Amino acid sequence: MASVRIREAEEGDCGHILRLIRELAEYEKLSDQVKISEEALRADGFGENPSYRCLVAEVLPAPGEPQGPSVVGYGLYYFTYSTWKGRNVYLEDIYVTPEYRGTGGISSKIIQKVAQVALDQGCSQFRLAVLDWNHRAVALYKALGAQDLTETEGWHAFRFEGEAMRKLAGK
Amino acid sequence: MEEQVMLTEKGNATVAGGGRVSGTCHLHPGHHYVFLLPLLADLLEDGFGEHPFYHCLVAEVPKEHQSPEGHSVVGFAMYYFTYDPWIGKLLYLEDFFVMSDYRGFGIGSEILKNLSQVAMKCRCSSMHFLVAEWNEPSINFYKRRGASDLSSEEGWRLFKIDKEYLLKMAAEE
Repeated sequence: MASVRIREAEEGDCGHILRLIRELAEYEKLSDQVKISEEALRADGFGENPSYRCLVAEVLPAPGEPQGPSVVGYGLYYFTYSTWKGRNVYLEDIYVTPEYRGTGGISSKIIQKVAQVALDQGCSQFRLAVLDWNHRAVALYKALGAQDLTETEGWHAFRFEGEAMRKLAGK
Repeated sequence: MEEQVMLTEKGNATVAGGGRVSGTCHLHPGHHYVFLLPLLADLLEDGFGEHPFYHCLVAEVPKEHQSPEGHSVVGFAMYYFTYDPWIGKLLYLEDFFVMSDYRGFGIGSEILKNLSQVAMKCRCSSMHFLVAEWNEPSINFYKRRGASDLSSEEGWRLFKIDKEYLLKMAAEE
């Protein structure tokens, strides 16, 4: 019987991470929005001053099985900063490939590991964003003690991009 | 007034920490200094070490326009870099404030302009930030300039998990 372990991503995992990023985008029918390359992921995550950190969920085959371990999920996070509270952790992406969902609680294990990182780094809070139609995810996070700040405090996420941002910059 | 406002990047210079940072703290009306003072040391260390956790722009007015208390720093923006796995680096605007007596002179716009230039220079595809849904003046300020409300348009909700639950999770391992 195969077992799963959650470990820190290494540079060599970037190909797998990109595959899973694309899988998630495909599932959301937005695959044409994935512009990032494997080289960019490597440079951004494993250079001198990484822009993100990543955990991967790896299935380890049972003894005797011919295939090697395979990466079936990932959790990508980074540190944010509050002038009042200092460093926080922000979980940007969490994804488990469909065949490995529902059994073994891989998502929960990934979140647990990120929570541990948050505590080790002296963070007082862990944040993430969820789409309102994703009831399963909302239920999972609430069961872990998450609170919906959009509901309780009215926070909305805003963005400037593309043409709007160029205009602001005076270009 | 706009031409006389100087925006300076708080860089790696050894700032006269007390003076500047206390000026920044002064911009949060209603806070008690005693409560904030222990944070000054952290703010200094976190923002001006080798790998800063945040960056700051301040809006500074010349002496003749100083506030009655003698403060020349009248606005600021605190930001850092985040990541979108589909695209790459983003600029995240965490705090943005101009003292009420200094609003209406284009200082906020100038700060935003500077920020967007930083974003483009650092090859960020977009700038992200939060706005409270009841904050109509801010919402209008940003929407007039082409910002989108992703919570309303796409259904994004912001969640937090507090330390007590992080400890619970970690203990279950």
